[in-house]
Order: sequence, then C-alpha cells, then structure tokens
Amino acid sequence: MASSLFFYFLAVVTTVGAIAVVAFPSPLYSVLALILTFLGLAGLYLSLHAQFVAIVQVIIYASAIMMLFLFVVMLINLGREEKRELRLPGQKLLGAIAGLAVFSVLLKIFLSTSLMTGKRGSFPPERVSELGNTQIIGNLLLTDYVLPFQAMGVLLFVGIVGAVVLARRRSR
Amino acid sequence: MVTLLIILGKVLVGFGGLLLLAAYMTWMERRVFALIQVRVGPNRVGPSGLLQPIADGIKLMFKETIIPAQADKVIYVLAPAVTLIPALAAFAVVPFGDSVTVLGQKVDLVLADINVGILYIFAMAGIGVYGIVLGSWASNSKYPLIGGLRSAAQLISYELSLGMSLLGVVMIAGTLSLKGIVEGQAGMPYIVLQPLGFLLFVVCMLAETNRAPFDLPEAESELTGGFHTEYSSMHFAVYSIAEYCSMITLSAVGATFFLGGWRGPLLPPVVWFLIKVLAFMFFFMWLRASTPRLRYDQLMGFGWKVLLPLSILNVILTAGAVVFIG
Repeated sequence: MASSLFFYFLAVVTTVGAIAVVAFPSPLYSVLALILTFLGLAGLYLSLHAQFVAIVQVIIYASAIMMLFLFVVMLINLGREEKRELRLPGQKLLGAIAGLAVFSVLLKIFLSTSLMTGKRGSFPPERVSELGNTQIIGNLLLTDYVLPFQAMGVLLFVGIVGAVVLARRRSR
Repeated sequence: MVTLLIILGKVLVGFGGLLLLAAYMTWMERRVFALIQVRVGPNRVGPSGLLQPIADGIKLMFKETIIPAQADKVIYVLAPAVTLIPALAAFAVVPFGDSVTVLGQKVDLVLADINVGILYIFAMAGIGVYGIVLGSWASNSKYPLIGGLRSAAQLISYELSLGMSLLGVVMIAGTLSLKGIVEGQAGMPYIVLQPLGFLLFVVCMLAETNRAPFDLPEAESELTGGFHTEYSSMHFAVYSIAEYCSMITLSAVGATFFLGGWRGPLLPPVVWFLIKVLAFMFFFMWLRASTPRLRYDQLMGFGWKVLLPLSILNVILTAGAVVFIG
C-alpha cells in the first residue's frame, strides 16, 4: 500500500517534470524541471531496491550533467523562447513517427517483463540484498559485461581528448 | 508503535542536535577567532556569550526580507532551502554513537544505515550546489553571479578528489556503509593505513566547504559577499546554517572514515564522536584565522594538477596493498 502510494507520487513527479521541460518558455526553468524528473527517476529506482543505481542517477545525471546544462543556460543568458515557426517541413509528422517508434519499443519491452509473463529475472530483490547491491554491479561489470564496459571507457576517453583539443589555447 | 517512536526520537535528536551544533559553531568561531587575535569576542549575552547565537537568530528573524526588483522571485526564495535540505539530509547516514537499548529495543545511533552510505553523501552534496548557483543567478546582480560560478566550479572540481581520497578507506573496509567502516576500525583507525588519503581529504574538505584558504567564492575584498550578497534576513541565515551544517557533516565523515568514528576509551561513544567533530571544526577556524586566500587560478590548478593525480596514486597504491598484502 505504502509502496504503491510512493510509486504514484514519483510517477506524477517524473511525468509532470518531463512535460514541464518542454512546456516552460524559459530555458532555465526547463533545466530545473529536468532535474526534478531525474530525481523522480532516482526515487523510482529506489523503490525497485536498486539503491546503487538510484544514487548514481542523482550524482551523475541530476547533479553533474545538469549542472553543465545550468552553466550554459546561465552564461549565454537565453531569454524567453519566442513562439516561432517550425524549423523543418513536416516536423510534426516526423515527430509523431519518432514518438510512435519509441513507444513501440517500450511496449515490446513492457510485454516481456516479469509483470506480464510472470517469469522472474536472475537477481530478484532478496538475492540482491543478500549479495549486496554495489557488489553485484561491480562483479557483473568486470565479468559478463567487461567488453561493453571497456568500450564505454574508450568512448569517454575519446570524449575527454576531444574536449582538450577543442579547449586548447592556440598559441603561435 | 515503539519502533515509530524511536524513529521519531532519532530524527529529532539527530537533526535537532545538528542544527543546534551549527548555531553554536558561529559562537565557537567568533570566540576562537577572538582568542587567536587576542580579543575577547562575544561575551555579553549570557555566560561567556553562550546565548549569542539565539539572540542572533531572533534578530535575523525580525529583519526585513529584501528581494531585488530584478530578481527571479520564485528561484530567489527557493534557493536557500535547496542548499539547506541536502545539507541536513546528508547527515542521516553518519553513525554518531554505538547502539543503545531504549524501551527494550536495540537502537543504532544512526538515522539511516544504507548500504551506499558515502555515495549518498556525495549525491546530497551535489544537489546542494544548485542552491548556491540558483541563488546567485536569481539575484540578477554581478557579484553574486561571479561568486556563484566560482563556487560551483570549485565544488565540482574538488568533489572528485574528495571522493577519490575516501576510496582507499572504502577498499580496505570493503563496504560503502559508514556503520561498516566504523566496525572495520575496531583494531586501529584508518588514518594509520591511509595517511595520504587523510591529508588529501582534509585539503578537499576545506575547498568543498568554501573555507579559508579556499574561500574565494565569498572573497569579500573582491566580491563583497559572493553568492549571498543580495540576501538578507532569514534567507541569509538559512545559507549560513547550511554552510555550517555541511562543515559539520564533512567533519563527521572525516572522523568516521579516518579517526575511528565514535570509538574511544573511557568516555561514552557519543562524547568521543563530538570531540572528534569539534577537533575538525577547531581546525577549520584556526586555518581561517591564520592563512591568506589563494588566487583563483592557483586554486583550480592545485585541484586538478596536484590533488587529483595524488588521490589517484593513493587509490592505486591502496589497491595494490589490498590485493598483495590483504
């Protein structure tokens, strides 16, 4: 009972936040609404017993990445967004198609979850709390998923090198 | 029912104690400052000026709230709360004493022992930065904006090294829970095994709480008050309480990670915990009274080019020691 109330509260926070991101005319308020959405998502992870993922969601998305967004918005001092014409011809139709595509993917994933099929995954909450949340993620990242994990590392490294090259002072 | 009462009691004692301690830190800071500068300090209100923080609080409450005409009013009013709430919430995972028996139940003296404890503190610290950035932006004035940008850049840079400096202890203890880390120090405090980690932690802690010699965000000679220049009355008070709360929380983290937390001979655990936290706080004040301020580029250079490589080195050395020596 309490946990489903918690879920509905977080679901409302997350969706209202997400709509507000698009709806606010001022970019700064959009950024704040996006932070609210991320915090709501972290709460949802927490209600799924994924403490590590929830906290990392807050540290990385809600604080580090959004802080960069906030910096950019604050420094370039965007005004309120004017009502303007659509930029691409047929933008609305393309948007609808893209939305539908994402929705169908999500629907397919939803239909294969344990909620619909009744099948449970290999890490139900009891097992996770027995082995330890962080320990399981650490073990899986360095055994079963070591290749994607390393690939991510390379990707991030390339990003850092790119940032250094762009920011380098060009002295003659 | 009893469980609920105990939880309520813990919350009241924990957060009430934290707020009271934060208020009295202003008194301690002024007395310590006076001592170092051979002055008397506040001694008029109550014995040794002990009622001074309460008098200050009442005064601030009755002052007029001034909101600049060009300010973004919603964010301007909300920003101090955005700083205070995470600063208070972060304290929830710090164990401030051994377990005690109340009404026939064993009660751990920690508000919430979660298994990702230290990461939770970093998450809260990360959210707290928003209060500073938003407050400085919403004031719509030059000095606060520069102060806010400085403090955000500084907090983000030093948070990295701060996390890295604690990683050594996490690897030795094998847990992220602060209760588990105190349990791991039954034999000896981790400062013996992690001297470099402790040094790095102390330096990063100073920068993270905007204290001298790293208090550039509020460098009064160049930026008047920094991010809170435009704030007055209770909004200003909330900012300063939040600052003292995060100082206390980081002191408590230092005491827990390196000095054995509430462990100590003879005296009860809670007293030992307070002694260790107050020792850190005294160190903060001592440094503020005796060091000049760094230049801003020196500060950033020091953070990225000295502290971060050193803390990575500490992590590598510790990892090697854990693997080969055990």
